[in-house]
Order: sequence, then structure tokens, then C-alpha cells
Amino acid sequence: MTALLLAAALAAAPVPQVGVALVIERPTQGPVVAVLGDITVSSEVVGDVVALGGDVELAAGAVVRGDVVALGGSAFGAGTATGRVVGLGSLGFGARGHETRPAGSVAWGMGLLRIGLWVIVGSLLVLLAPQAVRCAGEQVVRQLWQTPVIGVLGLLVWVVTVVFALGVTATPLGAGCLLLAVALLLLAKIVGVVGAAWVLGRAAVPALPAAWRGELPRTGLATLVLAALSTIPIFGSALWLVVNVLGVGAVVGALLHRLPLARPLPRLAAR
Amino acid sequence: MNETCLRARQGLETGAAEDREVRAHLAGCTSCRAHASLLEVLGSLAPGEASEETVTRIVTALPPAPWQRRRLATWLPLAAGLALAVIGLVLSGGIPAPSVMSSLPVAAGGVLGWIVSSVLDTLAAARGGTDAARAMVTTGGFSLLLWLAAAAVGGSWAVVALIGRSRSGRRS
Repeated sequence: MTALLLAAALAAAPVPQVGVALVIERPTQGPVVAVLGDITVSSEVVGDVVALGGDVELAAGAVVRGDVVALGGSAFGAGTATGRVVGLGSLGFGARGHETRPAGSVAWGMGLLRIGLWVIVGSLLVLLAPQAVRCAGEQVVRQLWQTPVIGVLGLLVWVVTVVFALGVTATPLGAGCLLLAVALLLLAKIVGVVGAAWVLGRAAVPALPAAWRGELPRTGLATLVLAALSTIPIFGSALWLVVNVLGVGAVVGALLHRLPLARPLPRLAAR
Repeated sequence: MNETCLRARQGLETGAAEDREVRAHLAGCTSCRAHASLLEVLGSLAPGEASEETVTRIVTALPPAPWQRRRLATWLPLAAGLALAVIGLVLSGGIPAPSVMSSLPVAAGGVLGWIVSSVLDTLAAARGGTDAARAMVTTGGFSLLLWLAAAAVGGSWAVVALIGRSRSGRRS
């Protein structure tokens, strides 16, 4: 009876919309899902809270009776959750508050899962699309100091595109642009990070046993080392941020280097 | 080509061009003289140094060597990654928010379907526009289309000219 009354008192979860932030200010029936938008919870949610490509803020007094997941973002705040609080796949910046880290075995499990996924993705990428990884890696070697700058500029352009897309997100064109921009950034990040690992692996060749000197094992090993280092609390976050920016810069730089369309650009800029 | 020619050509190729016997043969054999001058030209062609960009392009296009795939060490990182992911999932008690996560593939399919339908709608609209233009032409509205095209071209030209004038004005 109490459960029925409670269910009747709960508001229905808002319908997920692309690029729209959700604010939960009254008791709500979960799951609450946001796509490319943040969720702020300041009340009770009975069910899971999931942000795909966004942060979850659990404000003081918020109670989530379920799991809190920020896929491509972070979960933070003073609120509580009865289930797991997980932030996965964040680019390394953009968290607006102190991140709520999962405790105990969940923290270990999430860390290992993250490292494992990166190693799997890195190995498969070298196996299936070696040219993309090598191009990104060669860009890092060719312009080691310029590549992070290219990365920062590329991310700036990306942010401007996303802000523009968010402005017209109500239209199918805006939502499509937003999804495309996120997919492209994700792809650039993955290829770029594996490209950075490729460079690291190549540099480590003299120190590796002969069996590990091949392109596939050395890149997989370097990806594992990078992903493992990134789990160290403060140093890891900084390292991951640098690797991500470097990776995005490597992909953008390699594309500009290879695309014939980009070649006249410096000449046009010089006019 | 006789035995003497063969010996002379071997001498030329092994660097014995200044040998008295070879020189004497060359003086009397047109064919071997032509061979000697060909060797001289080939010798003067020093191999060009490959540009770094070309080398990089060729090397990056190569697939992983087949022998790499046959070695156990090649697959160890992938196996380690799978093992870590499985251990991680077990430690964290499975996939978080399973109700939402399990519906993600369906949602991704929905988004893909929406994008495809948007593209198809655009194509349909373009085809409808083309049909309308054809219908206008057949019903004698060709002159209207011509006027519209002329207005579009003229308007674009005016915009470009205005921008050009404002640029030149700023420069001066």
C-alpha cells in the first residue's frame, strides 16, 4: 500500500532529448536519462540516473535509489546514492565539482574495466586500422610541440560547433550536428590516444624483449601503461588530459597534412 | 655477339674499361661501344634520395606483417585487456544501471534510423522540388524559372561585389 502511494506521488521521469540538461527538483520515478546533457538532482529519484555524454550533479539532499552513471562525464556532489556512482570516459576536463568516486571493489572494478576497454580498443584499432593510428603517431613525432596547440585549437573549434548546435538543437539539423560532433570527437580521441600510445611503444622498443617489439604488442602494452597511469588520482588526470589533447591534435594535424583541401589554407591565410 | 664481345662487356661491367684489351675491342666494335656508353650513362645516374614524406606514406600504408599475427605476444595485450575488463565487471558487480545500459543499442539504432529517415526526407523534398520545376517548365513557366535563376545569380554577384568594394574601401 505504501509502495503504491509512493509510486503515485512520484513524478514521471522527463523524456530524454538530445542536448537538453535535466533538473530533478521533486521526487521522480527513474530511470532519468539525459543524452548529451547534464543532470542535476536535488530531490529523490527512485531508479537509475544516467547521463550519456554529460555530468551528473547530486546536490545536497539528493537521494538516488539506484545507480548513478555519467558515461562520458563525471558524477559529483554531496548527495547520496544507494547504488554505484560511476563516471566513465570523461575527457579529463569539464567537471564542475569534486568528483564522487566509487568506493571499494566498485572503484577497483571500474578502474580495471576502463583499462581493459582501452587496451581492447587500442589493440583492435592497430589490428584493423593501422594506417589511422600510424598517421596520428607520425604527426606527434613530426610536430611534437605544435600538436598539443593544434589539439587545443581543434577542441576550441569543436566547442564552438557544439555551442552553435545547442543553439539550434530543437531542429533535426542541430541535433544531427551535435551527435556528429560528439561522434567525431570520440573517434578523434580514441584514434589520437592510441596514436600517442603507438609513439610511446615505438620509443620503448630498445627496452622491450624481442617478442614484444612488434607494432601490435608494443602499442597494446603502451596503451595499457597509459590507461593504468591515468587512474592515479591527480597525476593521472593531468596525464590523461595531456594525452587526450595531444591525441586530438595528432588526428586533426594528420588530417590537415593529408587532405588536399587543407593545403591552400596557409596560402589563403598569408594573403 | 661473339666470345670477345662477351669478355669485353664483362670487363666493362666489372670496372675494367681502361683495360688495354677492352679498349682495343671497343675501338673496333660498334655494338660494344654503344653498350659502354649506355653503361656510362647508367653509372652517372645516382639514385635520388627518397623524401621523408614519401617514405612515411609508404611505411604507414603497410598492413601489420603476417608473421606478427602468428606470434603469441601479439595477442597478449588484447587477452590482458579482455581479462581486465571481465575482472573489472565482476568486481564492480556487473554493468551499472543495467536497465538503461541494455536499452542503449536499441536507442542507438533509433538515432541511426532517424538520421537515415532525415536524409531520405531531404532527398524526397529535392525530388519534389525537381518535379515542381519540371511541371512549371512544361506548363509554360520557363520564363519564370529563368527570371528566378537570373535573380539568384545577380543577387549573388551583387553580394560578392559589395563585399569586394567594402574590402577595397577598408584597404584604401
